[in-house]
Amino acid sequence: MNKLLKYIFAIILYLSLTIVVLINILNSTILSKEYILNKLEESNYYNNIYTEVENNFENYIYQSGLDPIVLENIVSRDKIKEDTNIIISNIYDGNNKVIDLEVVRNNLSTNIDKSLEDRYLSEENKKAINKFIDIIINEYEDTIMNTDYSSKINTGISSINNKINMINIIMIILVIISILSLILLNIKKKRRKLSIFGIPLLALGLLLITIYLYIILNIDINNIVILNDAISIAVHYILNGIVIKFLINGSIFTILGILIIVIGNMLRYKKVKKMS
Amino acid sequence: MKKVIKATVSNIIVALFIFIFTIGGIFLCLGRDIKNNISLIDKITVVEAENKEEKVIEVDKITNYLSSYPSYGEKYATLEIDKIDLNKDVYFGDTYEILKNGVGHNAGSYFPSEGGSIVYLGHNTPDMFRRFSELEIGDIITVKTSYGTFNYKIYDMQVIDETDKDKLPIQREEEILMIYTCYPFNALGHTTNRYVVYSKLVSGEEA
Repeated sequence: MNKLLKYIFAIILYLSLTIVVLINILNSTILSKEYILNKLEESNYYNNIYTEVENNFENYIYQSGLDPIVLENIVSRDKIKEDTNIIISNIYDGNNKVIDLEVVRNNLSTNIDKSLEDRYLSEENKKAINKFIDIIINEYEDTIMNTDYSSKINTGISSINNKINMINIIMIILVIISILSLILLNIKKKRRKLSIFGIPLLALGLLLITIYLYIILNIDINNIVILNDAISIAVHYILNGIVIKFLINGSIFTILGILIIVIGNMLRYKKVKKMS
Repeated sequence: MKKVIKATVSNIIVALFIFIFTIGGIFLCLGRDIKNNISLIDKITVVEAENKEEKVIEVDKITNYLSSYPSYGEKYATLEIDKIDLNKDVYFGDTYEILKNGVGHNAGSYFPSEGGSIVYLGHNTPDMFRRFSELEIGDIITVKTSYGTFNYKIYDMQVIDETDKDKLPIQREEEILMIYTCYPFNALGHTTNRYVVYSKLVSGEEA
């Protein structure tokens, strides 16, 4: 009966620890603002998205009849970084800040006025130019924010965070309970069954390594394409970072599990040998 | 020592058993969801073909459909209008990226020789369709492909609204080439009008 209870608590420890580890991998990666910002820097996202923005603006200039020079310096890399950080902050901090598009609009209007200052403009021309400016602003906003997806991500992340934190707390409590129970069940022979703690750790390590291997063998992370090159490259860095965490955690738990099992059994039989 | 090894091995076996049981449980309960999600991710994974074999396109004599089609974004023809010294590459697809490089072919329309509506589009820049205003009824437009050369005679020109899709009908009773660009040609800013040149197939020589 004692032995059965030990294995039951070992399994409870294993299951609850698995969930705690998975939640903490998520909390330290995709659910972490700092992680995302680091990965954006690492993947040169701000420069890439700046290039994307410029390329997208170019798509509209050819048919506009305007000199391409009107698009120069309407947006800076610093502005793009600032706006991206606002969006990230909205997602992770629950803020509701709006990115400032008036700066872009004013810069573009000024450039257009300068390039056309000697030209007579009919009312129709002025309307068409204003429409062009609106299109450029929308293009900027859409490239930076991907408005269709950002609102879904905002609501998704905050609801996930709440649920995950609650589950994490419950699982940590279960981990503590199962560890205490295993200690209590071994209290008279506390050095004899240390190996029981190694079993769930080893099983967890193997599970994490298997997840890592399954992902890298079935998903071609580095060829995922989402929306544009800048975002795709950032996603590669983010996902690769998550996958590496599975490998690192898996390796640590596997090694720890084996060590505890080996040391536990050595201590157990050393004690038995001494007593005999 | 033997007892230590035996106990260690048995503990490892228990751990393996728990691990295998977990994997089995995951695949039993979530196996289908995992497969569906992986195939969704596959759809957004793009791997460039290492060696692109050149496609040989031929016209099926019975159906008049092509034996194979160019990939989206692939150049497959040239558009020539001698009247306005135009000679431009034609690409399958009509994204902004494509239009930067040449003439776009609307993916919802037919190909030369298929006997239906063909819709081409391009910018009204000086090096593209700016000189469309010089075209007249009776002028010839030539489309050269790897599977043949096709000549079309202009029979109409119209100014339409960008939303007026009825003016670019897709049908398969007659081979008509419709080429459109923004209008007015010297407009500034964003225009909502389009200038369409309509032409009918007058001769086609298969390669």
